Amino acid sequence: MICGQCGKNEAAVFLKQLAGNKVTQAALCSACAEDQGLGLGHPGSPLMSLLSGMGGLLAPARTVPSRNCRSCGLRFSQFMDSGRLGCRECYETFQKPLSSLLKRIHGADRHVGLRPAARPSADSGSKTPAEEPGTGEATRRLLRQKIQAAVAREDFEEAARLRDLLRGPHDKKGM
Amino acid sequence: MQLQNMLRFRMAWSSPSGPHASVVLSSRIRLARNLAEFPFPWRAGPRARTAVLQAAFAASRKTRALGAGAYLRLEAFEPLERVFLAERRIISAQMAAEPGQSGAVIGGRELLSLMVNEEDHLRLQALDSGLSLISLWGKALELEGELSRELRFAHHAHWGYLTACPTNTGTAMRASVLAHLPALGLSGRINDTLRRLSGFGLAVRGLYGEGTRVLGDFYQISNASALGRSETAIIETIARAIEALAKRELETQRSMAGGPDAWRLEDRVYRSIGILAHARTISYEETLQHCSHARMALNLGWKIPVNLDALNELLVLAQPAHLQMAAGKELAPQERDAMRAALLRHRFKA
Repeated sequence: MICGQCGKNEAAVFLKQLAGNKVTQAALCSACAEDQGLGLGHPGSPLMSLLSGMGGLLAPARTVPSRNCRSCGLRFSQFMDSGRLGCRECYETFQKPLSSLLKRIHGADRHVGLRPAARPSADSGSKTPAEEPGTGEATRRLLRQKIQAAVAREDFEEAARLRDLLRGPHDKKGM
Repeated sequence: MQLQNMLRFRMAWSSPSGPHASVVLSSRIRLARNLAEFPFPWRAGPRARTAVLQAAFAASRKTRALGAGAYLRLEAFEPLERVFLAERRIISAQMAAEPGQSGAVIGGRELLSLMVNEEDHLRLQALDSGLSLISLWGKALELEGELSRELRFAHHAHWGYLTACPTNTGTAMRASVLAHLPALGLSGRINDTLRRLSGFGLAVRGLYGEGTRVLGDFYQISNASALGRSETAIIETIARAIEALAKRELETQRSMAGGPDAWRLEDRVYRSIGILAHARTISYEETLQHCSHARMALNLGWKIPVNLDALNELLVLAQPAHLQMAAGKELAPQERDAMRAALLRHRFKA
């Protein structure tokens, strides 16, 4: 498909916009997309080739974060070049563009499956796996159930440990 | 040549004992995990990478599956030995090339293993013969559970396990099989078949993963996405698709062998046997191609001088680094090709 703006180059960025109740579509080459501030990085980057291989449904995030990851210092442009994130904090820093990117890559943006605090073996009186700070209500509910179970079997030490997990910041484990 | 001893041991995945082993060489479950406290390996400095390596080794030593395993710091090995490990599918080609502060833990029969500081801090893998994804998932889950009691993994409430590459985010699981599809290839039905597989959300690559062409009709088939479906749902989809694929491949083999052009197939197979039994020099690529025909001959019950077990073992032993490890020294390409031909002649002598 040819770029709708310049009419010369092959389109690389496919944009869907919602205006009122109407969806408008545009196909732009990477240069025109860059001109309009819609660039998503360098066309040759691994992620770009990955995305162009995913059916060309490359609707770019409108706001590319300008700040660096506060933990590892990665810039969004570095992510676009390498196709790799630098640390877990990058997922928070670049949450917005990542959210739509993940949806495009996987066709979904919600994890289903194994979680650190929900594995079956954690119920068998063994140490509870690490709880993730910022984990939602489901984990807290699970922890509360575990506390009740620990109290029921009179394992008060375990119940106290779980209560601490439920309350506050996590201790550093495994180091 | 510290790793030379490994040549004496058979890997679980190289014995054709698993379900559908005539079509499915091996299955693999790979789980990526990162330690929450550290930057991902490519952003981490030598000190952080070393700390990850130490933490991963310490945690592994407490597990049942890997506690008594072999613990390798890759920098301590020669480049040839690292390629040897990559040929055994214990480490990636990337790790063989850049071993800095990375390591591997290898369990019994090389069924479970752990890569440390590859693209992610941990890449846990379970690898076995035939279509064995469901049993491998059980083994991988147990090991992952044991490790998770010692290590805090990077995890997000909505996005699941966090990985360096967003294509792995979520379950961070790659479930794959290595399938041998010669009849679908010869009959020209392969492209149609691969298109159907992609409809199931599966990705297809050549034998040695990304960026390589398909050698000897061996295809690696894996889940294309990692987020939004549970590990078991992904595994069940692949297992069902591969069962159907194996059936289709064997049906195609039988119909080719019973059809009017059967003589062509027979001619092709026995020419390959002739080359394997008599060549004086042969590349690995050519070996794969002829071994592919030999495997099909075994499925059809045709008489050839080797069995499936020997063929699987040859696919491993005829690889370049394996030959050099057996020779105990580095060999020039033409020396390797001559040594490979001698190995094949020995196994294929009638």
